Amino acid sequence: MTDIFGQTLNLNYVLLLPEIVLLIFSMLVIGIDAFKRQLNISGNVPVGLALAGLVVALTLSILQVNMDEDFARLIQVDSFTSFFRILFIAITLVLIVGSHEYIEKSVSHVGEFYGLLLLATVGAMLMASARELLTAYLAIELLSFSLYIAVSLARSDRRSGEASLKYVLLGGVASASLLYGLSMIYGVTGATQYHEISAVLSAGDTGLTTPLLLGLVLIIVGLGFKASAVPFHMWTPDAYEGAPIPVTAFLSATSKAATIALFLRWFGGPLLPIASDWQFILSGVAVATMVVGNLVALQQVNIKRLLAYSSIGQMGYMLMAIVAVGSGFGSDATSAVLVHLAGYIITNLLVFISVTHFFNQTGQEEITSFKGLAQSNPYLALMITAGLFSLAGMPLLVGFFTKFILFQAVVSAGHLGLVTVAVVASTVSLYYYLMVVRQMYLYEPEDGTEQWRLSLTGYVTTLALFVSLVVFGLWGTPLYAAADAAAAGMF
Amino acid sequence: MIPEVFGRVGILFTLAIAFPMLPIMVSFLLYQLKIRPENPNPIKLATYECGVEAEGSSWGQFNARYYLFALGFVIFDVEVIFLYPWAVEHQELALTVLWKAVLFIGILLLGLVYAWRKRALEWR
Repeated sequence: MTDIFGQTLNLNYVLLLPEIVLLIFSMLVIGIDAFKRQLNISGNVPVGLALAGLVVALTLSILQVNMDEDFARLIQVDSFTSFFRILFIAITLVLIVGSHEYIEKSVSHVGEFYGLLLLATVGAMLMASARELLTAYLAIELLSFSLYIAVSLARSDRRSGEASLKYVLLGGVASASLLYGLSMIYGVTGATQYHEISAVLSAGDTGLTTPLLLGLVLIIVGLGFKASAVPFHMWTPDAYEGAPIPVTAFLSATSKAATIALFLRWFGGPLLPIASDWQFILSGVAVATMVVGNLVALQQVNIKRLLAYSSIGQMGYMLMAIVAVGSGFGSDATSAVLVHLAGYIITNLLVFISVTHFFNQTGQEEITSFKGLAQSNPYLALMITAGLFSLAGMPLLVGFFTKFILFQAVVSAGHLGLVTVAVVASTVSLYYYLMVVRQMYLYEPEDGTEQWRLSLTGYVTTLALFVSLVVFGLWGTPLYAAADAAAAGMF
Repeated sequence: MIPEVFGRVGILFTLAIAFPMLPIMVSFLLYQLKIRPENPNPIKLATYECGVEAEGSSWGQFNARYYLFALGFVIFDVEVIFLYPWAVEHQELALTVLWKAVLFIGILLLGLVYAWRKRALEWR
C-alpha cells in the first residue's frame, strides 16, 4: 500500500506482470527488427521472441488465477480477468504458431507485425481487467490502434490499405462517440470508478435522465461498433476482406471477445442499476445483428466476407445474453456468454487457420475456389467442415453445447422472443456454412486432383483445435466450470 | 452543481460568439447609417495570409513527408505538455515520481530511435 495525494493505493506491480512482460517483449521484437542489419540475426528471431513472451505471460497469468486484488484502483485482477487473460494469450499463441508461414510470406514488416499483435493482446487484456472508465478507454485505443496498423500490412494487396483506412476512420468516430458517452456518465455520477458509478446510480433517481440516456446511447454506439453490431457493422466485411488472414482471425476472436468483456463489465456492473433504460436498446440491436448478419452472409462469395458476416451473427447471440444480464440473471448469463465465447473462439480459430493454409497453397479466397478440396486435401476439408458445423451449432461439436447453454440462460431470464429470433437465425446460418461444405465435397477439383499437405505446425494447431472442439463438445464441464468461476468473481 | 458549471461554459460560449460577431455587426450598422465610407479595392478584399498573396485551392495535395515530420513533432509537443505539470510540482513529489518521468522520457526516446532507424527523419 502506497500513499499518494492522500489516497491509499495498492501499487503491487506483480499484478500487472503478464501485461508488463508482453509489453517488454513487443518492444524487443520491434526494436530488434529495426536493428536487424547491424545485429545480423536470422528471420526466426522475431517470431521466437514473440512466442517466448506469450508463453511467459501465459504462465504468469495461470499463476495468478486465484487472485482478487486491485492495482491502484485502476485494474482489477480477479477470476474474470484471469479467464480473459488466458483466453487472449492463448489466441495469439495459437494464431502465431498456426500461421507463421503466411505471416512470413504475405505480411510486410514482419517484426512490427508480431510486436503489434502482442500490443493488441495487452490492450485486450487491460480491457477485460479495467475497473475505471478511462483505463478501459485507453485499453480500447491500445487494441484498436495496433489493429488499425496490422490490418494495413497485407503485402501486395491493395484492398489492405483501403480496409485500414475505412477501419481507422469509422473507428475514430466510434471512439469519439464512446468517449462522449463516458463523459456524460461521468457528468451525471461524478465518478469514473465502476463501483462508485454503480453506487450513485442505484441510490435512486439522479434527476438527470436525459444526459444519462444520451450517455447510454453513445456508449452503445461506440461499443456496438467495436463488436460490429448492426447498424454499426459496415466496416466489418471490408476490414476482414482486406486484412491479412491472421489479423482477420484476431479481429473476429480477440477484438470481439474484449468488447464483450467490456460489455459484461459495464452493463453487468456500473450500468446494471439502470438496466431498464438500456435493455430495450440492446434487444433491438441484438435482433438486428442476428437477422442482418445471418441474412447478408447468404450472398457472399468471398470466404473472409462470409466469416465476417457469420461473426456479426454470432455477436448478436452474445448481445442477446447481455440483455439477460440486465434482467437479474447476471452470473448465469455471464457464464453462458463466457462459455459461448470460448467455444466460438476455438471454432473460429480452427476455420481461420485452415483457410490460412488453404490460401498459402492456392492463393485464393473465393468460396468457389474450395471446389474439390475433399479430394486434394481431405484432412483440411474435414477441419473446415467441423469448424463450420460447430459455428452453425451442430451437436457433438462445441458450438452446439455452448449455444445450448447460451440460449437456455436467455430463456430462463424470460426473453423467449429473443431466443426465437436466435434459433431461426442460426437455422439460416446452417445454409451458408453448408455452401462452403458443398463446394468442398460435391464438386471435382478444377485443376486436377493433386494432393498437398500442411506444414507440421499447421497439422499441430489444427489438430489441437479440432480435438478441443470435439472434447469440449462432448464433455464441456471444464469449460463451464472455468466460466462459472469467472462469472462468480463479478457478481 | 452541474447546471452552474454548464452555466459558466454557457457564458464563455456566448462571449466567444459575441466577440467576433460584434465588430462585424457594428461595422454593418455604421455602413447602413452612412457614417462609414465604402471604397473597396482588390488589395483590400484579398484574404490576409501572412502578407503573402493566397494562391490556388486549399484542397491541394501536400507531400506525405510533411506528415511524418509533423507526427514526430507532436510526440515531443505532447511530452512537454505532460512534463510541465511534473516540473512545476517536482520538489513536492516523492523521488519515485522522478523515475516515472525518466521512464516516460525513455519510452519516448525509444520511439525516436525507432523513427531514426526506420529513416523517418531523412528527407527522401
